[in-house]
Amino acid sequence: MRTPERLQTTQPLLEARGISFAFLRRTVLRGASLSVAGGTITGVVGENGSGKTTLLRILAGLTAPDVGEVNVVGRIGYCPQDTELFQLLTVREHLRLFASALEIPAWEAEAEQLATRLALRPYLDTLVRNASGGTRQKLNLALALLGDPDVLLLDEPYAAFDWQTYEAFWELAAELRKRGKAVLLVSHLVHDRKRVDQLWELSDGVIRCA
Amino acid sequence: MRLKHVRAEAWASLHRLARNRLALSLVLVVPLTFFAAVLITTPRRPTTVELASVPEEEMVMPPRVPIHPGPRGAVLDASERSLSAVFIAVAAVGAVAALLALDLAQKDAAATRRLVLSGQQPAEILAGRFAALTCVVMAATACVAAALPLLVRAERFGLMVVGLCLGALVHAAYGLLVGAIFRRDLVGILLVVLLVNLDAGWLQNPLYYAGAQHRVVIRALPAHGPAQVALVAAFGDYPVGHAALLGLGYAVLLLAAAAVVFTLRIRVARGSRRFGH
Repeated sequence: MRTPERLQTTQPLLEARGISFAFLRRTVLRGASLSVAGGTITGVVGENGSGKTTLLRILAGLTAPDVGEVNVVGRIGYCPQDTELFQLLTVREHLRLFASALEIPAWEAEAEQLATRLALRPYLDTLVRNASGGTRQKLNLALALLGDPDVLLLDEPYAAFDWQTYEAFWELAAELRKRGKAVLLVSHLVHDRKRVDQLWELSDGVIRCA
Repeated sequence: MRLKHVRAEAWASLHRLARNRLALSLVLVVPLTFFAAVLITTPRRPTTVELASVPEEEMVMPPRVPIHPGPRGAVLDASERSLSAVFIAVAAVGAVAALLALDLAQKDAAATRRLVLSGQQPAEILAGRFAALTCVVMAATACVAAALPLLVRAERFGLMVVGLCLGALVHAAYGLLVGAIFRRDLVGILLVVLLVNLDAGWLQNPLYYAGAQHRVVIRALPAHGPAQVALVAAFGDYPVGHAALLGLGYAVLLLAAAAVVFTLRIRVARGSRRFGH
């Protein structure tokens, strides 16, 4: 874990308390509590099916838990594990549509910047249906970053990235941390552990600080 | 509801529809198949049918085509083929509209939810999609209307096209509703085919209506208003206001139901929230 010079806020931008969730009679989460402060990158690890994605979906507001409380300061940007995109829209059209939803006035400049950072520029006019897995994953991430959200929930955002884009992603994450954003990242990669400030482990529905 | 957001969704939906070759092929294939079925199977012989929406007291004599009072309303003498062509045209545009709407509503549901998470309101998405569908189904209706003069000499062609447009709108709203309720393609397609087949494609057939019992059931179905507007406009001078209102009412009702279901299915929680306390 490292603590580079950055803008770390004392107030948590994301806080979950006592989150419990059961699905088809199986308890997925048992009273999970965690907090993510601004200016930090927090990792959540756990085995397949341990409830990492469910936890992120609850934090994002896509799934309602049975019990619990979620407190958010600012806006959330969410990057799902599966590329949740419109198959018959191009990369550029996605950026335009989501920028419109987010009411970003100068969306072109921001979209250009994101496209450059994530090496999406050559694929701006490619239909998602025809794009590679890596390009879809990059767009998936770009949509989460659009509008400069205060809290970023990233569910294994780099599964299909090549090494170069993977490194570019971590540079971007470090930059977001520096700018005081709260980044919560789900990962199962052991070597990512050293890149995060705080690590939580989910096991049998219980979350513990690792 | 923010107009800018509706416009953005309509624009995206138009692109999605225009790029969906399979769905667009329906615009040609469905009407062609329906008209071919009429041409092949329906004779030109004259027949007598009842116009369901024209009561006897509203009849105006002399009509342009032989119409005379019947025991329960206006009775019309026309060829089986021309009558079938008009009612099957309503069924054709209805089928196209419902299938396109279903496709738009069911595909990429997770991405749609993500859009809501980004700030788009479900009502804005639905309004945008309905606007895009309206553009596409009106184009489809225009194609069907262009083919109709080959099969029928309509008395009031423009008004007959209005009936077709109403049929398309009612079924587009129905397709959006089915797509909002059911996530699985097969169930949605079955429900669309079932309604279009039973209602527009069978029970609204004036040849069937003449001998049907419990007609109140037929008159209560979504395709009744549009089919009556098209039929009455094609074969007579009678008022179609009541039938048109019925069709419009159904379109509004189905769209409102779609909006409620869609909003409930796709809503997300934003900001701080508590559960189960």
